[in-house]
Amino acid sequence: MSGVRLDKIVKSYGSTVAVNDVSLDIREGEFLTLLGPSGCGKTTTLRLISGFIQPTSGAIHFGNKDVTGIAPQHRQIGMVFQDYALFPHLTVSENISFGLVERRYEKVAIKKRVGELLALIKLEEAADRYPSEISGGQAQRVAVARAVAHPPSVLLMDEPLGALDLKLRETMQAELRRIQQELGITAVYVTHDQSEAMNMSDRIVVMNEGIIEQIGSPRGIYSNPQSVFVANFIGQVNVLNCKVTGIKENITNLDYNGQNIRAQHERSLRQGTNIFLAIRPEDIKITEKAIRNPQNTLKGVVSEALFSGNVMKISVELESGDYIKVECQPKANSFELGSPVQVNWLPEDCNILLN
Amino acid sequence: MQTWTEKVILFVWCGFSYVFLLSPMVVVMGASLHGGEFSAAIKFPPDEPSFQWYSKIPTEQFEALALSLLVAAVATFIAALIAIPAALGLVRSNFKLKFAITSVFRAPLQIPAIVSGIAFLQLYYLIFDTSGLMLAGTIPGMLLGHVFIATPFLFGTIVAVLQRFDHRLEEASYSLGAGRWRTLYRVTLPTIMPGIYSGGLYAFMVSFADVPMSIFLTAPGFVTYPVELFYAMENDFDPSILASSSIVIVFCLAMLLVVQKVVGLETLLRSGGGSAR
Repeated sequence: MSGVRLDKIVKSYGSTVAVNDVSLDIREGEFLTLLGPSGCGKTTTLRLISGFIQPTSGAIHFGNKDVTGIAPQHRQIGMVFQDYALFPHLTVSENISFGLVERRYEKVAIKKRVGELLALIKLEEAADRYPSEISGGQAQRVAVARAVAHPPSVLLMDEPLGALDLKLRETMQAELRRIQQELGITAVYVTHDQSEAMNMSDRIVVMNEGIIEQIGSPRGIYSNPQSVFVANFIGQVNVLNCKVTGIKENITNLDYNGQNIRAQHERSLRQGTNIFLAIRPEDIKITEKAIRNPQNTLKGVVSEALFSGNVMKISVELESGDYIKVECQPKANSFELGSPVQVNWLPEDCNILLN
Repeated sequence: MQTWTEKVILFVWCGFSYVFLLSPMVVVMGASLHGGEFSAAIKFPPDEPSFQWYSKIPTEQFEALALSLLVAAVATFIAALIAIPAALGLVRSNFKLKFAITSVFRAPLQIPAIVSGIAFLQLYYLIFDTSGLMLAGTIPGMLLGHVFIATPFLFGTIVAVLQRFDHRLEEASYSLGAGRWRTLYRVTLPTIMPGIYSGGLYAFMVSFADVPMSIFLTAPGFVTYPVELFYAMENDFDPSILASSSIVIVFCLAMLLVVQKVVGLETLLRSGGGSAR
């Protein structure tokens, strides 16, 4: 087992660049997720690590070993595919033992290891069934067991839960995470589902158009997105176009449509700079009457109110014509369409983004 | 739910289809049991049913049957050795002449068998004139022709199966440490096996039943079974021909049952034997 290092990886097909100068340090035992919309280069990156495709330039290391140019069968990887790719002509236990046979394990050792893995994925009773005779969730667990039977340097998973329904997907997220932690294996996971990435990962790599937008823990990326793209991709966000008017200590004063907005921000910005102000819907409070001591308050009217069980999703049309999304407890108020309201938020819930 | 009328229509339609398909065989098998006096015309239903004509099948027909089975089996085997690598190579490669070569492999289907027969005979005479080696009327000569007409059937079914082959299975195999040959042996071939079986069955049948080409490649004392039957029908018909045909019908049904048991007829049909054409 080892970490994985990508060093200035470029992969281009003719004139299109699928992965553009990606450097990445995957720590040993870490669960790392490559997240992004389709075509962002996440699957290409995974296939580069697996060795099914070779980079146009750059190098890949497993631990201290340079594996660039080495064929996948010599890389000691474990691979889990979206559609499982179980061998249809082999039983569950034969599928799991496939790699062990290739690695010349003794018969007794194979039997023992397959038994352990069947216990790990809780599928002892399905050992002699064929892939066509088990459910999607079971097939997925078999695919994982097969991939880790001979402990790989890194476990690579390409949208492995994409074919499952929502309920099962959530159970399997926990299951995959449990297996990965029990084995202490380095794992790289590809998905376009941000909630899946949030639930499972130690760190998330947000990719877009072949480059890395941001790397960080789920919490860090959610609360401190560094670009409008990341803010939008991870959860819901309101983005307002503002101009910097002045800086006092760690508070940046902004002008939005003639109104002053105070935002907490570490880096110093030049006066007059145009920036994007990002605020999460759940950080915004909505009231019908003016509040005392108002700061960061905007007026508007309710343009949409959706009740979705645990939250109320309200859309407010501001005086500027922009819309702002708010999430609040449903018990608070019913907020009828067209009624005048005020929205406000704290300076520390503001995120100033430059791009 | 099916309505009453739908059921009747289904029943009548299927009934007619079965009668249409099975009646020739039933007539042949029934008439082979003819036990009365010799008659040059088929008697159905048979008078005084008996197996007397079964004991009167000429030994040449059994010898011809043995030759046909041997030729069909060996020709199918050789055709498989040609078709499997050809299909694997052509489906996965992307070179310029791909389509040209694919049609070359399918070409024998487009050529009427009688033309192929004449062509092979001419070729064998040519070889004889230049080298003194006579292939017509020999097992290698016969096999060459049969491999020619059998290969497209195997090639077609294997191509059809390979086009639906999930290449991720091979990637999974590589990721588990298996090299190219191990992957071919443990993953690719087992997965396309139903296609090989069904193509092989078609190829065997085409070779076994061929008259128009084989008739040019026979020699006195070296005749395949359908050709022997053809001669017998032309020259001196008697119900022993029906008897020997009945044996072959039963044999073929038995073979289908065995294939059904071993690979499953559904897999055979699903693997798209029809797309060989």
